[in-house]
Amino acid sequence: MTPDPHMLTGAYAADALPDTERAAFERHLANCPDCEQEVRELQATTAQLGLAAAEPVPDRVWQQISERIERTRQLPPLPADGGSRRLLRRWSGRLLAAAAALLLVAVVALGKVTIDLRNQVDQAEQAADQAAAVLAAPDATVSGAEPGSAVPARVVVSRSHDAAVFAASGLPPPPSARTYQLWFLDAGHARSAGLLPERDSGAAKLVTGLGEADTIAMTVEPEGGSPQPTTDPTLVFDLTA
Amino acid sequence: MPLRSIGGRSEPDPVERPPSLEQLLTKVARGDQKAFAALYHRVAGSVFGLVKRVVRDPAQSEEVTQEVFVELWRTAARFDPDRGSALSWVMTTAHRRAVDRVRSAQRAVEREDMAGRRGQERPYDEVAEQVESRLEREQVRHALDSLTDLQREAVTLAYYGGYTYREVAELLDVPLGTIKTRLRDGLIRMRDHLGVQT
Repeated sequence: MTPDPHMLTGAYAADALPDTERAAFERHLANCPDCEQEVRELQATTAQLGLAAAEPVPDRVWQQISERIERTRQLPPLPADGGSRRLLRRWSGRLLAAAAALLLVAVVALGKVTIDLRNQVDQAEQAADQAAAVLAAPDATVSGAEPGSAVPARVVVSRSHDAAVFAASGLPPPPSARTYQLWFLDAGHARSAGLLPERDSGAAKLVTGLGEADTIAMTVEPEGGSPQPTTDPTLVFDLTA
Repeated sequence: MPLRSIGGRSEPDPVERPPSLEQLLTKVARGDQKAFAALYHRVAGSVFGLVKRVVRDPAQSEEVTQEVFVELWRTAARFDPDRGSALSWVMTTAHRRAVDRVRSAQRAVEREDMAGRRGQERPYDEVAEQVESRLEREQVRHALDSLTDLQREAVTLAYYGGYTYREVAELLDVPLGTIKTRLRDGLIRMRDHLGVQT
């Protein structure tokens, strides 16, 4: 991230940012109403530049487009778009608190079943501290699982901590000799973000090493996990939405 | 007496105004192909012209134009009027697609010898000249004229040339921070000159 992201509104409106910086600036935009307003105005300005370039289109272009839309499914509206997304932002404090509570339950449960109690509690405490830091980070953002997911699930992402907290409830136990595995996806490349602990139905996990990931996903994998996903994801979190 | 006068409809029917792009998009979001065709005919020239300005190759520009409209069709329900006008959304989508196209593999090759080209060839002259000769809108031309040379070069190279600000900095041999600033203050000056409303 550049020292002063506010200066990037022009480069962003002109699409002059490389992909990684564009993604970083969009994260800043989501939390900076001033920049959002300025970008809106500068995009309206570049649109005028675009209009000035208008020229006639060959008829065959419409022919092909009209055929393509016949077989192109339209996306549904975003469940949390526009005003409700802003509302979500306002509510994110409560969501974060709820996620923190869920995480603490998970940490306590984890502590109960350990044999090497001392060691595990230390680790759990460390994870809880780190998770609390992620949840309380000023840049923390909440992403819900994509519409149509089997269970309610969220991730809270903090780029500054390079980490995220994953939380799901009502998760069915994985099939026998299988486990849930989390992944970071970066432009289609998957990196393991670790296995979900064996638990009843709620699950929470701190995942670190976020890097430039644009997506977090969960798949069902053979016990012990896989180096790369081997099944279609059951949960997908779009971190750029 | 016809019944309609009782219903207060005695005034002549107002001349039917063409629907706004926003209204068309609302219909498109519900799968209305007629509304989509109307939307296409309203903005296709602008989309194609902009794409071609960036991509240059006419055949590829047609392909990208198709991609833009298929994307508009697919994502119409995600248009959020709180974040700008429909026209702005259409043009932003078009520009991003065009830029994505020129930044893919083909551009990667060009980048390697960019350092070699620097100082000899000055592609922004060409870009700026095309803009000059083909500008259809006097207003936009005046707005561009109101910029300093560096602002204008930065804006046209980035927007019409599809270059990243790093590439623009390299082409103009100016520090990165300066280019970021010139892009911003250049567009702000154009915004004020054009009296852009959002």
